[in-house]
Amino acid sequence: MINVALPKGRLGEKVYSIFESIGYECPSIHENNRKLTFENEEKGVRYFWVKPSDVAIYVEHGVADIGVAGKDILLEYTPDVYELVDLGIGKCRMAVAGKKDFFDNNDKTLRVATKFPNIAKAYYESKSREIDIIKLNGSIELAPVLGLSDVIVDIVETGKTLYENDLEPFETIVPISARLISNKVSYKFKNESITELCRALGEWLKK
Amino acid sequence: MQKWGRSMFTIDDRLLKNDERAVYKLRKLFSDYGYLHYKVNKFEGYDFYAKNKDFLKSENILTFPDTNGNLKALKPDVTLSIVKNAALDGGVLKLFYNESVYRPSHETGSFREIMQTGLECIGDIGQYEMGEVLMLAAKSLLCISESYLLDISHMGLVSEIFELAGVKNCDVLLKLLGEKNVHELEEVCRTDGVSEDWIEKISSLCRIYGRPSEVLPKLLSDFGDTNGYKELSDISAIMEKYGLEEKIRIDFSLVNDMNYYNGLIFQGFIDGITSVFLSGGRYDKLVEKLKRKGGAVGFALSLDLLERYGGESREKDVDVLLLVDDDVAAEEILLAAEKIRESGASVRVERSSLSGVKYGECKRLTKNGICEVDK
Repeated sequence: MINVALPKGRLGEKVYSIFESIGYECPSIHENNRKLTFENEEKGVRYFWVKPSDVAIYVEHGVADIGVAGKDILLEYTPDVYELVDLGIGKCRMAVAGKKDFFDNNDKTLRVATKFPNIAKAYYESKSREIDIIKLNGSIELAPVLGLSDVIVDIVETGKTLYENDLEPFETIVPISARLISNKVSYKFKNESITELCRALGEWLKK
Repeated sequence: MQKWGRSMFTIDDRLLKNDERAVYKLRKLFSDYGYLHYKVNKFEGYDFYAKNKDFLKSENILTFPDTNGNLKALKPDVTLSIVKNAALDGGVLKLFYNESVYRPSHETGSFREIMQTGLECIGDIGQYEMGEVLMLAAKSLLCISESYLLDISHMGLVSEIFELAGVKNCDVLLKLLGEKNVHELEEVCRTDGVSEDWIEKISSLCRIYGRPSEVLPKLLSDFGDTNGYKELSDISAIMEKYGLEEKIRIDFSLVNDMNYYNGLIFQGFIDGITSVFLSGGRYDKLVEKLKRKGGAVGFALSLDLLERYGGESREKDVDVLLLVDDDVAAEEILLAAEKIRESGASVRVERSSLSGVKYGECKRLTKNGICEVDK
């Protein structure tokens, strides 16, 4: 039995439909009830929905053998897991954004608001730029508008929210997409099943 | 009453915790092969670890100033201290240890005391010694469970392949190899100008996971008869002789710092423990760095992981709670409690019922004798 942690939300639903199309369906998942786990014994698969940022935690601790997490989460939390397949969905980028008229004054410490302090820190360290990190949990775009920070480091998909608030992305830090991750020990003891699933996903990706 | 004597204190296996039982079994195993128990100092000078930070799993070290002002550290690792203090005059030093190390936890970031048992073999290391250590690693895992796997890799072979392929970003590729991250590995190779033929070969190296008999022919055809291949193939042959072929897997996602590890590296896994339980390898470069002669190979087991293994949980604190009335004489209480203990049950004597202690049954001792009490 492979335990799969899926991220709640649109991305997770898309991932499940891919799994379904490659032969890992679990019809009970569509039933409208309060169940937390869904199992198809015949196909040897059990799904459960978790908060997207928790997928990597479930996988790292081996409660889930595999899961699907965004590259942003993997870079931020650096869980000790295998990153087996780039699913090529949920594509976006981690970017630096700020007010359109923002001028980076090198004399001052740069104030960066973000949900991803580790990614921001690593990025500016690689540029030897001194920064102050302001860790926020949501509505990041508001920070430069109200003067809480000079720039933000956040996920940018289309950039629509940014432009509507007179902000714009300046630099791309890293492209993001959904990745299939696996617990390292599960990969060893359930190697045949996980390898077969990866092979099927590889075939799906080629289509 | 039971006659007093040392026989009263024979070890009851059921009373031992998983890690205590493992320590006992491992001590017996290592001693049977002539390894000597080695006791390491609790503290070391901080500068010693600062110079060898890359060898440690974490850069964070618990430090404190000694009475003379020198900065000391609670040891985060045992191998470094053993190699530093190894007094070797030819031959091979065979040691094992059971020590506490102090490292930050990956999840919480705060320091934890971790019990570690390990084995080191330092000096003139030949094929026999390598085989013996790897076999002892397998037997150490067997002490815990029959459902185990021992993964092996070879840092020398990986570095030979990177050199042949003309890879520049070795550190980045090593990290991606460790994640089995083929998609990003291919991208980095392309940026490095590695040929498509080599990219395909390195990608397949990343995907490899299998028994030596399945993997070695592919390695030979892809990369040729390199030194690393020869060592991997020789050690696999020895393991087959020990009857361990079914338990060994070749996996190049096992990576360690190339500045310290130069040859075979290995990790052990137990079904039911969700992280690496045993890790070890050949670390001649560390021996050289610490200006000692010869080579070295060893491994360590993280016994703290056994705490949650096997689903064992204590259902009660004591078998019998004996409540005694105030007017019962002390010697009567003593005799009554001892009599129950003779049947093999544990007994706790109290004057009144208490909360916070789970007991199997409750008895009351009155002047007229013992009676059962409902829970």
